[in-house]
Amino acid sequence: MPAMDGIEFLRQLSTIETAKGTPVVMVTTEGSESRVVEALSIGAKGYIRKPFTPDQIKERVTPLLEVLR
Amino acid sequence: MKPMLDARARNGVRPDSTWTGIMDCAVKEVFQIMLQTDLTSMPGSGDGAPVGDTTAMVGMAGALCGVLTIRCTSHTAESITARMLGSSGPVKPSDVTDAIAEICNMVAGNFKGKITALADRCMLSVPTVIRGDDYEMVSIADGEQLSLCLAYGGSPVWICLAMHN
Repeated sequence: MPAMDGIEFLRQLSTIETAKGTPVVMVTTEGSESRVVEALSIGAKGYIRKPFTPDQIKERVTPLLEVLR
Repeated sequence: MKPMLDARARNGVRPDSTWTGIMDCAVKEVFQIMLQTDLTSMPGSGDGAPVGDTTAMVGMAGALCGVLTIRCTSHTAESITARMLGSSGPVKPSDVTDAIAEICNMVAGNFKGKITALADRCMLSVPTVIRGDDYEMVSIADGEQLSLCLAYGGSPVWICLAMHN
């Protein structure tokens, strides 16, 4: 991502009052354990490493949508 | 250099004979998963200089420093883009740039993810795309180079990892 990476984006998103509680699933090529732990520790609800299949997206996103309903 | 990157760079990783096979696997996986396309080998083509007017590049820094490039013709790049987007009609030039950049990024990420010593200790740059073929890439670092040529629907796609010492 230009300008900032996904972790920084997530940090900035968490400071916006109206965006708090928005579930975020990271989709990234950076799949190392430390990056996953970092993302989850600052509020990501899931982490999908590219390349990904449509089923992987469904598997991660569907439970989050069910919680919101 | 950022402190985190500096720490990662302290123990540089040296390429070995398995890396070509790992790269081959990483590229094929990305095309299979994202485009549902099987790339095939193009024996002999890897010996020649890459040609094509569309090149995507991703820089790597940390335990491995270098540049990964994917090069093909604009026609092949448009075909890859259409397949990635599930489009049967013409694709916008901006979409071609995005798609080829994304493929290159995914190949670099998939490749380093398969090498334990690199996975957590090598960072990727934002991709760059070059349009046109009247250029020559010259690395000022005297490092090793890993090259592959694979066929996408019969058309060559060159993958090159130029590593810095």
